[in-house]
Amino acid sequence: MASQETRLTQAIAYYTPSVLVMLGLLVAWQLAVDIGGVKEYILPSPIAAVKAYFRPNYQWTVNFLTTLYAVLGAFVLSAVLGIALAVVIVWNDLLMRSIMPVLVLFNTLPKVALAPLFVIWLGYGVWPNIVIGTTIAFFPMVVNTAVGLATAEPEMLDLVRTLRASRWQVFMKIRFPNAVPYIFTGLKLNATMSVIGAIVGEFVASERGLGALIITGGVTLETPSIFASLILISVLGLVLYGIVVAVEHLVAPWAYRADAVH
Amino acid sequence: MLRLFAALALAIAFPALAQDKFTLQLNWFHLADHSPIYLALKKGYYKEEGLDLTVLRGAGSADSAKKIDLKQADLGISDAPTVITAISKGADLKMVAVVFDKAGNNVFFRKTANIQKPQDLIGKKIAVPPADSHRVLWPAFAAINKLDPNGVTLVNVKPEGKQAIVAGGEVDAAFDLYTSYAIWEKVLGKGQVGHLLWANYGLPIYGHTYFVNTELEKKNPKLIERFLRATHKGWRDAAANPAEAIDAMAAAVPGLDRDALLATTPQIYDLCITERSRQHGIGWIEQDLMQRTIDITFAQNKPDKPVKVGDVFTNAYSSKIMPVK
Repeated sequence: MASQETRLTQAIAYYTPSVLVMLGLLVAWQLAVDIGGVKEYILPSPIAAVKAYFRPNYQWTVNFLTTLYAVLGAFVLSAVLGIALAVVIVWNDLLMRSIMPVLVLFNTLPKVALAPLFVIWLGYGVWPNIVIGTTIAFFPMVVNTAVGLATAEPEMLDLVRTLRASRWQVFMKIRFPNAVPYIFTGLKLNATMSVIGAIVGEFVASERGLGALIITGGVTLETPSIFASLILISVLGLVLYGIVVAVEHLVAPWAYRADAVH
Repeated sequence: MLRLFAALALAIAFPALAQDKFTLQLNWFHLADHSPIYLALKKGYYKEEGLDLTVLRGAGSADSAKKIDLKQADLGISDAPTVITAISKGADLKMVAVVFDKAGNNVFFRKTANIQKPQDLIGKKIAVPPADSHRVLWPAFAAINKLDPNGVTLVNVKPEGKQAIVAGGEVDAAFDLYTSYAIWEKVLGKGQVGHLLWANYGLPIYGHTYFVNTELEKKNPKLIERFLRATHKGWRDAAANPAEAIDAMAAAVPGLDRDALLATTPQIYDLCITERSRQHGIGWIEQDLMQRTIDITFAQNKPDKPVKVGDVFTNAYSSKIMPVK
């Protein structure tokens, strides 16, 4: 009981500075708008942004869910594709040498510039946005997973080979566990990039979604709705990231280091 | 030597000859309706008025309105409804002349889409670029034609993608200014383009206008008058010879498709030079029509603060330049 209490106080002590800084920033922002007399359509105050949530014409639920589906879709698809591709290229050296340069080349293309092409090829909506999100988010998945699979300790590999482990056994018992922390790093990057990808897609063509609200708000000078959308987008990204961290704690506690960024 | 003294004497005698710097913020990238400005530049009309004009490319009406409010340029071009919306949100702006006496708001589609009247739009998917006024005006247009504004699905699309998305059959139609007709013909094919001009279906409102920050009006109203006089001389000459104006712009701005721009000029002069311009001069603003523009702008969403027609425009700097004919 006592230890639980100390953990709680420790947690409070840990998070207090960041919470204070955030609150301080919000207060400074509100004061700057109030005292500086900044027009709301140029920079709305935090209160004005929050008020936008109570205006039904923005249809928050529908717009949020649309973006949420695209983000989750891109996240899952990137994870599955990324891990599968990493397994394939680590399994076979020829594939590694032939596919990797193509992946790197593809990753250097600015996806924002590619997005309009996807709209021409696939149309618009949640599915094309999932595809756009995946093109952005799957590369770090592949690279991280591949590194994790390829860098199993050589001594360990030598040892199990002397014990006549099959290639499959080596993979499942040595390489894969070694890759788990790397996979979670990939998933953390994937979580934030899927959000970016979904919004990029909505910027190009969309009926609804938080990205659609942002561009509409820019034209109709409904600036508070832009800020309100941005807040929801960051919360969405943060929660997804938090879920990945929580799952990492459960699945791979050995990979978790208290001093790591989380 | 004598000539030099004469020049010096002139410069001292007429200090007004020193050129005033003046910045014009366009609404969009260069289109044919900007060509009269370049003709006026080429013919030296701005120089005659003592103006050293810089023209800035635009990024949408809302962006231009914001830039003039923040005094990043002297005079801007934006859709009247956008300027009115900005004023209702506290921007210190005033319209001083119209560019489009009749708004070119319009819907384009394939002829085969079988759209004959506004009622036929119901149930259709329509691409509408966020960076123009159609989105704001659609509910009003729908109301005037007794249509449910939610009866169509509006699809956000980047302005440069609206023809492709219709050509690909992804949507049925796109809201786009009538002045883009030539581009639509290029993409959908000659004789394949159908359209409905909103002005023909109960929506006669103002389109693009010239506007300034109210501070410029207080500090240097003469500057506005000089700019409009030079600009409208350009319009007068350009309407008489559209090709010359397009050539002047193409020579000054790299990368323009001269022929495509020239092809849109008949529609532009139809919408810009009207019976009102012939009666009062180019750019004249009619109070009733401005009031109607305000009413339509706020037909769906009430303004943040009430907007009075007398506050949003003035004809005080009207050039009284008449079109030829």
